[in-house]
Amino acid sequence: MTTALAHVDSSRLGGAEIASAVARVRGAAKLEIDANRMAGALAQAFALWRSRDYARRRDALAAIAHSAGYSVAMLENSIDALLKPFTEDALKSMAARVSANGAVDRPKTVGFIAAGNVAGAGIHEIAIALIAGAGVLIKTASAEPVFFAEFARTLAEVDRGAGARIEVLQWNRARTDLTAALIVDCDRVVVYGDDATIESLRNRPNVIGFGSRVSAAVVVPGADASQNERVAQLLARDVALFEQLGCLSLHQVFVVSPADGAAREFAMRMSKALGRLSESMPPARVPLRDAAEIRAVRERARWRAIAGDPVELFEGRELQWTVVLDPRADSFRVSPGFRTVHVTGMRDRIEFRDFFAGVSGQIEAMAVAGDESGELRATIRAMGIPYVCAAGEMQSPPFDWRHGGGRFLDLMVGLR
Amino acid sequence: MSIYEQVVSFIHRPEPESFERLALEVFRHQFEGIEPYRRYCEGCGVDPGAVRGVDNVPAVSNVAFKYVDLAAKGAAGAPGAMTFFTSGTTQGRERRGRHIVARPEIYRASAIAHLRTMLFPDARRMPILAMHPTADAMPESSLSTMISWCIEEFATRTLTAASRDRVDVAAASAFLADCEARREPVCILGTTAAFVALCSELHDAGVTLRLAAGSRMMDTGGAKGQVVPMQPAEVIARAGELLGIAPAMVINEYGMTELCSQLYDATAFNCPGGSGANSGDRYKIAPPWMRVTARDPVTLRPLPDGETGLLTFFDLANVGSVSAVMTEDLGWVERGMVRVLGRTAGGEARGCALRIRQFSANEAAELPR
Repeated sequence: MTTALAHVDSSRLGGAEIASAVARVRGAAKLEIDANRMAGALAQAFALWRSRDYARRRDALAAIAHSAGYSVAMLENSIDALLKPFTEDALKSMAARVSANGAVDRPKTVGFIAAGNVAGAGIHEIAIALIAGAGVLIKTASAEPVFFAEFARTLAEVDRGAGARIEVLQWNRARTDLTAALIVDCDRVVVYGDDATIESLRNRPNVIGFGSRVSAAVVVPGADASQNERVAQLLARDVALFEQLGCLSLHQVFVVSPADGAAREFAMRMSKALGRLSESMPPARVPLRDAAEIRAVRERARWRAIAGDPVELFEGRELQWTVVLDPRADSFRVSPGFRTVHVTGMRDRIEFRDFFAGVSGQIEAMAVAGDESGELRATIRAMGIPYVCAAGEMQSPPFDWRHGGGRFLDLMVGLR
Repeated sequence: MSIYEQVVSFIHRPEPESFERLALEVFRHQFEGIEPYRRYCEGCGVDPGAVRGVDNVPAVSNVAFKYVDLAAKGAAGAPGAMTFFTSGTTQGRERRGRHIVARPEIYRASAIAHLRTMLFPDARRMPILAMHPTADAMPESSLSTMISWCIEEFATRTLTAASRDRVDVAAASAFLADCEARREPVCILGTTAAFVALCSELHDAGVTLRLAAGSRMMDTGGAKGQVVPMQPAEVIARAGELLGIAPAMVINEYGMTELCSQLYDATAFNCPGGSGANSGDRYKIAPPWMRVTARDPVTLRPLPDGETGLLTFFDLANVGSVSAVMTEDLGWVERGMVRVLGRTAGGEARGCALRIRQFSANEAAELPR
């Protein structure tokens, strides 16, 4: 396949090339492409990308899967979930809101420093920036230079004027001179990445960092076993998408029930569901360091169980998937990813609320299942967790999701 | 001969061709006598009678020592038995690893024999500066015990310039200055963190010492306990600049509470062809009674020479507990020598998701053993 990147020798990039690219997208942003036209162009591009038959998507995902060691099936499902909210209605609705807040002084150029672990991460903010009238320059990660380059090509094919508002370049993070040029030349720069990356840029006033976060789920099991089974399947899928490497990925499931054994039963259901997913969405080739971390999680659980702690380890062949039942965990368990999840019991809503009092600021999303009264959802919203959703929807936040607290959304759209 | 006598005999007169046979005997002895290990092996579906090679012996994770006593029942109370603890962790003392050594004489034999090969190959006795508490002050520390044995075996005189709480860098500096004045070679033993503290003090005071030729140091623990870790190459450089110790005489030790044997840097001082340069990229050498493999963390199978995996040891000197121990450290083995990369090597940058250690400090943040 050919990507936009194939034409760029990143070693030959310099500050002047960054400045030129920013000037081009800034110039394109001055052209008369209103929010509604951009939303329409994006809607067409997203419609193409939602189709598994679209050749550019198919080739892009094959390339990403090959280089990252992911299965195509996992990536297909992940991109399906990611792009699901980008409907014409949602995009046009956003355009209407932008137009209605026309007086807002918005950045004219926005740089994006994309993450390498989750293909397409940042697409919400990029689409919002484009609809809000900004020119966009995306610096892709060396580990994943394909998705945005190919999406930008689609946009240009759909609407040349809209496509002129976005450019995609790639350079290594070690080229701090180029990153510095991006920050100087753009009105705003959005950074996705590990905390070290964001920390190193934090003192720049025009930088917005989407710091590292994780996600969780809370389940109130009901009397209907088939419904519990369905929830376990959906949450297992939430674990498996993007190989559990994004901020919306599920790390720990809390089973709220006074009944002994409820958490264990759910852990068993999750493990069976993950086992089945290993067939339909084969797991990734796990990088060495991550494999070592998964092994450490497993060995701790295994030996705690041998010692008589009420911990149980469910594990797939090799490192395909791991479920650790830790019925009374005293702290949030962050997973190494690659389908490794903890299941913990909670007696009631009060225990759940108290548990999250100290860590909710690091939680991006919470899936809720079986909360018939809506009390748990209310509790979670009160904690300030940005995205509260149903099981199976964790990787499909709505277009106006207040990612990272909503700072970028407010800046670009002026929704608040 | 009992299994213990056979191991001691091997340590004193290693016969590489009999390692495999003895290792399998040790494994079967441990399978029979150590109930949690037997349960683990059974969980792995391993029949000890069917294990034909040391590489097939089930290795316990070193974290196992945090949760169970991997020793024969009653071993901790046996006459002369010693119990060592891993250092404190953020999980609290209840999660400290505990290694019961029922036969400390085997541990001593192992430690001293390999120290003699790697740190005292010239068979010299000399003043020893201990920059870690000795066993009288910290009996639960395996490092303290090892340092005390080293002093008993190799010291002409000694100073212990560390307590549980602090390193007495002024006393250490004075001791070294005295050795310099007497033109006596001296041996420094301690943690890398203690050495960093000494360097900092000497640097701030503008003091440089030129210790006599033949002076040497053994540091251990690496980044543990250091806010900004000093890299191995820098340790070697500082030892030269501030103390006048030749690069080949700066020898890093790799050991852990859970193992009764240790590995040391191969340098021109202790190994033909070993590094004499300032590089921190050194291989380490295990004693002949220890087999080291790097295991694939996915399959747990031993990897070919040069491939990176989880370092896994079969230590005959652990005969009283469990000999097959898999660590959380990454490294590789090449022609019998070991490169230790540690737990932080090779980490991929990750996007918007947290890594475990970013969310909350965890067991990885241990202090020296």
